[in-house]
Amino acid sequence: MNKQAIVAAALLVLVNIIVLAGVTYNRSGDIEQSINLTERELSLPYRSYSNKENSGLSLRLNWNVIPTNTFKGKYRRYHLSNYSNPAWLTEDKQKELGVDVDKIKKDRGFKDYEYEKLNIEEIIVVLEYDGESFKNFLKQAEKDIEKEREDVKKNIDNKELNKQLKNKEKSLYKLKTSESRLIAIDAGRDLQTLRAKYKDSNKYLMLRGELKPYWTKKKLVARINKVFISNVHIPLPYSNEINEITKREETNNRYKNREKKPRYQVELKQGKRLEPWVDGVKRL
Amino acid sequence: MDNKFKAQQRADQIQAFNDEIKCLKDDDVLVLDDEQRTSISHYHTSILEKLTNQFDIDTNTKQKQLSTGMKVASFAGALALAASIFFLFYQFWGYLTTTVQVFILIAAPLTTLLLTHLISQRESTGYFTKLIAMVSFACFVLNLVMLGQIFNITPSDKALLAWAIYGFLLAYAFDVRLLLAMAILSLAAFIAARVGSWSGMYWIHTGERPENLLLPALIIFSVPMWFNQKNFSGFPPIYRVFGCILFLIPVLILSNWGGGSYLNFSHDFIEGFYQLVGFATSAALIALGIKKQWSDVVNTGNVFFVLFLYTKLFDWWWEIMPKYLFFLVIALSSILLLFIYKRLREQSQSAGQKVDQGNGSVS
Repeated sequence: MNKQAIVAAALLVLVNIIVLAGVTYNRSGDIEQSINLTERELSLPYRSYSNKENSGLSLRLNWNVIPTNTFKGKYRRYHLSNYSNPAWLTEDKQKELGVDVDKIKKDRGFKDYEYEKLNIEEIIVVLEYDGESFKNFLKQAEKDIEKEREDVKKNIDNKELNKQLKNKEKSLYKLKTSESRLIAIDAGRDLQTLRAKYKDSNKYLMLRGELKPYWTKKKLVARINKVFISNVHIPLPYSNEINEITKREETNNRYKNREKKPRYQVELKQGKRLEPWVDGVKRL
Repeated sequence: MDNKFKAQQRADQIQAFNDEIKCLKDDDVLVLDDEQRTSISHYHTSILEKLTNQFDIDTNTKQKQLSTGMKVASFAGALALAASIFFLFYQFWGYLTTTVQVFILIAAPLTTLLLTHLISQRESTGYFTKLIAMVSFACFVLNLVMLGQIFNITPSDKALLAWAIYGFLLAYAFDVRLLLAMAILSLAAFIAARVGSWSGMYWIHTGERPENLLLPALIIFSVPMWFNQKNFSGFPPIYRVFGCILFLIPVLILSNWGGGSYLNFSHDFIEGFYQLVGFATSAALIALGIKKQWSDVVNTGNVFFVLFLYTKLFDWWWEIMPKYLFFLVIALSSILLLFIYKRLREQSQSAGQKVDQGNGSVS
């Protein structure tokens, strides 16, 4: 074998050793986080034509943020997403996360929306499972719909109000039964500080992600652009268990399963490098 | 003779010599006597035999055409085989335990590397060697991507560096130009990601700032100047062409989209600046290519010069001109370019004649 080929073989071995050593390090020592998530938070993947031959199973990690303008607007429902800018991501918080707010404000000039000019910051996102923020949102939604019901009682013939209420009832039902209760409540740059602040290892999940500041018309806001691990691979035998529970349901439509109650629970563990793995599956 | 490229050049030269001798004989300009003919023929036959044994070159037009066909088949075969391996793994990996998955993912590039070596020992043409080498590269890409998925590893730009190094090693070990191109692209992506991260950008978004590719482009273009490539057929043109493309594509993008630039000026100014850079660089590349006799650089410079010109004409006139007039302007600008190239060609020919006369030869 010539010299380059020998070095190539050595490179293959070395790179794989490094990758597997990283995996071992992540899972070594005390488990940093152990959390039970349901189908609401870890849902089945989309089965499109292009990946229908994929026999592996990865579950989509669904997480949400509580937006600043909750319940404002006539047609707003109680649906949560992770696209909005969270209320806690103020300018001060952005500064804490490494965004050079003063420079961005000073440099602003040539366009109203210089979206592409603003750099993304790498952060650690704290996701709270079924905690205060989700429960508060649910309470507010119930309060809001109660007001709506009162209005309808007073104007029983108003078709528009009736329709609005019907949609909101449906939306609230979804929020209670099938929407993810994993809410981004904080972010930071230092893992130790976050771990000291959020000690309950069965309630919080910490994931690496990115923060994107952007201008609305007058205000500098930010959103969590993404978390880097947005799918969780399910190895054997757990993949078989989930397939058995769900009978390998094809979910082409994102909203198809939204109104169903969760069918399984996944025990997710997280190690030193914040990389999660599955350690158990239970039928609900 | 140190590489297949030069050996093929020598064989082509012999073929051209024989064709010319035949023409001279037909026109009664030069008729070699039997002794001279036999002597030249023996000399050429021995050279061609030696070169064929050493490099498996093509000694006639028919062989050349067949070789081109084999190259195309080898390329298509490698792509199809790599895709087949990828989908084979996808089809069955869900039925395998994690240990077996990891074993297969590590064994695949190693086995195909060993296979590449074994085939290279037995095959003089190199087509099958190149095919398996490309499959080995694809297996290594699959190896890291799938390990990342299986263990939910945070994506890292270091994978690009690993692929680049492996691509370079395979390209130089088995003389595979396509793998050199893959390695160059991986290396460019890695350097661009690092350049982007110096400015605070997260590496995945490096493509959003085309200027990140300018430094890798310059590095790649200059590689043949620093590292001797004489034993590797056709490698320097690959470095040069990819260097040009990786430089000029970002410039072309920025000349139409100032928002992607690091420069903190108005978008119009940035676009105008990069239009100038684009024209100047393409013209400079044409001049450099002519001077150094790098036809690859001349052609790339030409293509981009025309692209810059046409996108500019489109910007200026597509909306305001009737379509017949717009295409007429395009046609006239092409004719103008033809005149410029013709003039340059004539200047080059007269310069060549002066040199020949200075050397005392008849031109």
